[in-house]
Amino acid sequence: MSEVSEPLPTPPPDVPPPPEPTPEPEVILRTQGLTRAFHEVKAVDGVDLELRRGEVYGFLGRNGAGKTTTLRMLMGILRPDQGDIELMGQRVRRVRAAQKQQLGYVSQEQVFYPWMTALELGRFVSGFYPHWDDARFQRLLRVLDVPKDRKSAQLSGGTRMKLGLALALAHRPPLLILDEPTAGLDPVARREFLDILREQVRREGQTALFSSHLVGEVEEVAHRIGILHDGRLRFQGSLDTLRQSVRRVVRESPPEPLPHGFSLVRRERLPDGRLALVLFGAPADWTTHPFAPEAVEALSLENIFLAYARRSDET
Amino acid sequence: MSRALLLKEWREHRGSWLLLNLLFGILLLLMLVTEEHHAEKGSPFELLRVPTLLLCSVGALFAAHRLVVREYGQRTQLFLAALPLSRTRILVTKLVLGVAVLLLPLALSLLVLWSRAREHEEVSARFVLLLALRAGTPVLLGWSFFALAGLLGRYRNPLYIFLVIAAFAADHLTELDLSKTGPFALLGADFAFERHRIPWDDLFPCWALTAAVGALCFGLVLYRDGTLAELFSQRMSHREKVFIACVMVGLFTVISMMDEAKKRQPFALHEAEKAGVKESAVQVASGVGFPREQARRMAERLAEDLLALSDYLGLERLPAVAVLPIRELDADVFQRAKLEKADGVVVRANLAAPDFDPRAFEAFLFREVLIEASEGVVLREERQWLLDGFTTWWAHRDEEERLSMRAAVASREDFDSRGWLTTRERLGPCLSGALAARGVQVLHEQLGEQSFRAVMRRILAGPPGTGLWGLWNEPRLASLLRERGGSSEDELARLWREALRGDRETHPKELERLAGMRPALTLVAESAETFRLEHTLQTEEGREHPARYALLHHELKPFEHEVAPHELSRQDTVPSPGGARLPRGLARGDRWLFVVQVESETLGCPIRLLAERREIR
Repeated sequence: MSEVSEPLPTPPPDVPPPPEPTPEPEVILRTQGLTRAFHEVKAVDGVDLELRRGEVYGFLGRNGAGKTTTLRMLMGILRPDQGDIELMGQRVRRVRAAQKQQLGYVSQEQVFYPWMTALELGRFVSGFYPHWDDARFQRLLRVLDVPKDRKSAQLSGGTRMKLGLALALAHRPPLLILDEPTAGLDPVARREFLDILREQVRREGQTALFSSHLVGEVEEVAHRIGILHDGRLRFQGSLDTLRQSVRRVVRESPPEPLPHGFSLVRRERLPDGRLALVLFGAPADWTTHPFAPEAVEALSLENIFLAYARRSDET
Repeated sequence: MSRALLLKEWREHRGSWLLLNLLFGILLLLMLVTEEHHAEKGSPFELLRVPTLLLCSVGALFAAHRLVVREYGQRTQLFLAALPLSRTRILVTKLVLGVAVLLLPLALSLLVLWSRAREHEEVSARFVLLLALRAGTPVLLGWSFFALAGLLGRYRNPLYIFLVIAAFAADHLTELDLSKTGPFALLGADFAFERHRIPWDDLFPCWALTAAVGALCFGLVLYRDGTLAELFSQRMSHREKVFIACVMVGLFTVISMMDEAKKRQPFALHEAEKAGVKESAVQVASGVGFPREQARRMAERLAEDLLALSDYLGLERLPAVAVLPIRELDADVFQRAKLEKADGVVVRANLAAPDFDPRAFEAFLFREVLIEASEGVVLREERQWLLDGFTTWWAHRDEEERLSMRAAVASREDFDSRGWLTTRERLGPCLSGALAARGVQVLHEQLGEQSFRAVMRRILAGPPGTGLWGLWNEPRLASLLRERGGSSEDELARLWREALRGDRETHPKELERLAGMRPALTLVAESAETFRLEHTLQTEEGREHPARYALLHHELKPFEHEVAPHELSRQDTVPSPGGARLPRGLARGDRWLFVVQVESETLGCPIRLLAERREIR
């Protein structure tokens, strides 16, 4: 399986640009060669992320792809074995407590003190953030429909996630890091959560890094995405670019050297026994490709993700 | 330190901490209320040991559970890790808070005791600092240990069990005396009495250990970004449980094997006259002035008496007994040897001396046999009078009149059976034995033969075991009396004193003779640092002078408890108006035990007129 080579492809000039917030946005977070291993297993292997101010960045990957480890390194919870993090212009090996004050974090598992109510949690967390806005926190609780005086142990999973979001937003962090926040939520709660997140980001101009293994919800909220597989970043760019760059080519004969400008994402064996190649190429290259037009088919975002996230079938 | 985290901890644990302090307050109050009861311990600061022991064990365990175990058990450390707060600050906050929580009640206890003690004695700042160091250090060590154990998560309980087994094994199987090591030594017998010497030898290892354990805490919290501590906090898998159970069983097996291997052979005295008793033997060696025939007779008589004693008390086994004649000892002094490589009771006595008293020797020997058979349990002070009394009574069953006479002399001053070691030192083994034997006689009369025998079996022959478990389970005389339908201990004491009054009324002559004797000890400074001791024995006009008296003396080691009779040096003196002088210099600051005693042919044992522990100054 081939991987995206640097530099990452940029959208072709004839394609209308995706609705990104600013024409030349400032990079708020950049990582270089971020690597972290647990014993012999490299959970994250040389990841180079780039987040621009005001965008929602969807971080896609299967379970165990290394998303949580990457986000925990960005939050300073884990120390990278290698690589640097550039957060709001400051280049560090590890994110320190002072920098964490600029971040909001919602983890995939909200572990609160079970005896604390939402208000008490807010009071406790406010002690760590100099710019904590209690009025905003109260408003968020109201908007998110989180009961103020109920102990966190008595809250449902969805409400706990919303409480986590309120805690993460109340100090107006420029960057919000959300680690699979909708995992385990029912469809209604998931829908509410995504609506609120989208609204917050739109209204406040915050940047959000949003990890998920659900393509649909990423497609719904993200401006740009990164696809992580086996700890490596396989793609980074806008959704439209991705859709226009990855296509399936059905072949009768065994593979031969690929035309210039194309790289192999996945080799597939179709149910009728034919061979198919999922290829990545710049949108301009797809207009002049050497394949028979009937052999090339566009893929849904879900299929593209599956192509990136699965191993090739045997030839 | 983090103020927000401190506030959170306060809000989370304030109820339990207030409860903890309330319990300590009640404990302190109880201690102060019962201060008079504890007065016999010699220093009010002795009471400080109770809160210290509680805080370094139960208190530290409690604080670690609240501050560390709960955090990791609920996995809320993950929540804290996501906040702008480093793991180091989290741990520092928790450790400092734990120290404050534990040291606060300790400091309050010390302050209260200090203020009470200042009312009737001079308490220097150095002494208070010493007490604070000796009490605070074990508390800090206990806290750091339990905090580390808390970070070990699911392995903490196996660790506790392992350490208890290891401590038991070290105590039982090796020569290591835990009570004289590190924190145990700091809380040792001299805790409330040592006012000058700072015990650096015990403090430094404790501080080093505390620092090392603290460093381990930080290492565990910071290693691989806390993932190890997080891993430990998860529940134990079935495989781990089986593994730990196997390790524990293996440990028990190894300890049992070592214990078996450590069992020593009974002491064998070659070329001695032997007489069998149960599965054991009484061996008596002959010597100068003590021929083999006499040794054989003594061995047979002792074996017969020991058999009767063991049958009476229901002893299942008897230790090997060996008796060695030695001419260097006084006739009334008996010595037990310490055995390094064998088990048994080996005693030495001047068997060939003309005034050797076989009954007194038997009482001494029976006492040592019961101590050996019970592994020392019968030596606990509050019941030691029963040991002395029973063995003396047993050895003198056919000499009640002589016992009565000795008891009359022994009871010329009041005594406290619970502080028996003091009484024993004041009277010497012969008279204190007679005094206790009178109490045993009263108990016998009160309970009747059958009940008396059952009570003695429970107290002297059926020890429930050594250590804390044994102490917890041992039968108390008061409860045994209740069980047998007898009266209370107070009633027994009253009857005992009545019997003694009867003895004094029956034997006034010896008492009158003693009443006229006035021993005196005077320290005379010879230089700034040295003194001499002058002693006299004056007799009231018209009263008979004793032909001679003896000054027994022994330099006390720090906090030395009982001084065995054979450790006392002796100076025999003929009373004279000018007195006599101890032929050796005494250095300032040393502590000595001085005893003035006269011999009494009528009683057949020495009478101590004075027994005094004195600091030279």
